[in-house]
Amino acid sequence: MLLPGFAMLFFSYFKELVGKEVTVELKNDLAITGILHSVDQYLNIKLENTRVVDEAKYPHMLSVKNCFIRGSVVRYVQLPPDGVDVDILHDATRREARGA
Amino acid sequence: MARGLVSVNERSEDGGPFLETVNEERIAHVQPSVGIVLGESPAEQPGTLYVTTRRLVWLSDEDVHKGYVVDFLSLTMHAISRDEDAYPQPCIYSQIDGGEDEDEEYEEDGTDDGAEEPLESENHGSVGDFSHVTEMRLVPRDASSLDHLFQVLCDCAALNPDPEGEQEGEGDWFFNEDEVMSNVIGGDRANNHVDLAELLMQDPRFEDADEEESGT
Repeated sequence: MLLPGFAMLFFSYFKELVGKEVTVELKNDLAITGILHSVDQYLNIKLENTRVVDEAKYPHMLSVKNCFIRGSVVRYVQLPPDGVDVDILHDATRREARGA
Repeated sequence: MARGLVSVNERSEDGGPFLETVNEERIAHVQPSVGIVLGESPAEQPGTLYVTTRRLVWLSDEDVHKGYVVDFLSLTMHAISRDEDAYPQPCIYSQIDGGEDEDEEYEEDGTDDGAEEPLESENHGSVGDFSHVTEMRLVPRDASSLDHLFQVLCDCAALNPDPEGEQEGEGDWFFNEDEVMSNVIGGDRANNHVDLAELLMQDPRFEDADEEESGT
């Protein structure tokens, strides 16, 4: 499958974040924080040691320690501050823009 | 496309689900003795869970006309739940997206009670609509199978990417000039001018008053 450039870019980038803590916000407003275990080319995300950000709204999710989230329902991924390498991102986006 | 949870009341001669051969659907895993919990409803058990390359199918062991199906496109997340405060038994917790969320039917005539009964008793051979179910728990009697079951679900989910162009975009992309122009605010203003001009020419309201003449 040929990925749109931006999806490929995110995929490459998220792979670098494996093992770091991220917060994934779903399109149904559920936000889950956990250690990024893996991500695939469709941006499906597996988290470990998860916790729900808004526990009052989703109390039953407290129990979940690992989960698989479909890429298509991810709205945002909040990155750890130390996981953002601005130079690498700049480079990657410029290369993408040039169509490389 | 994603259609959420639906009920099935037919099964193949071997007791398993009818497979969608068009989609080259294959059975990836069979888990016996699995209870199913839809939303806040009480557990229904026991049943057999079939994980296929396309869908999750749960078929009741007691009632051959009872079963539920959810395709992987609708299964938006799944997880292992082991906290007894959340649910008394270890289980797979999952969320389901029925496609058209906030379905009007359930919003408006939303009397939940009894909504499911008619489907089962009257509509043999047809498929019930459970698109209002957004949470599902699968409770295998053998709790040690949870890790494997979780992994199978991950693997099969990855086999089912969303069809291209189906993403509900926050930003809509335009691909050619016509599309862009047709969306420009007042893009058909030229036509309005013509209509207005015609109106001015022909509308009797704009003609000079001739009441005095006709009145005499």
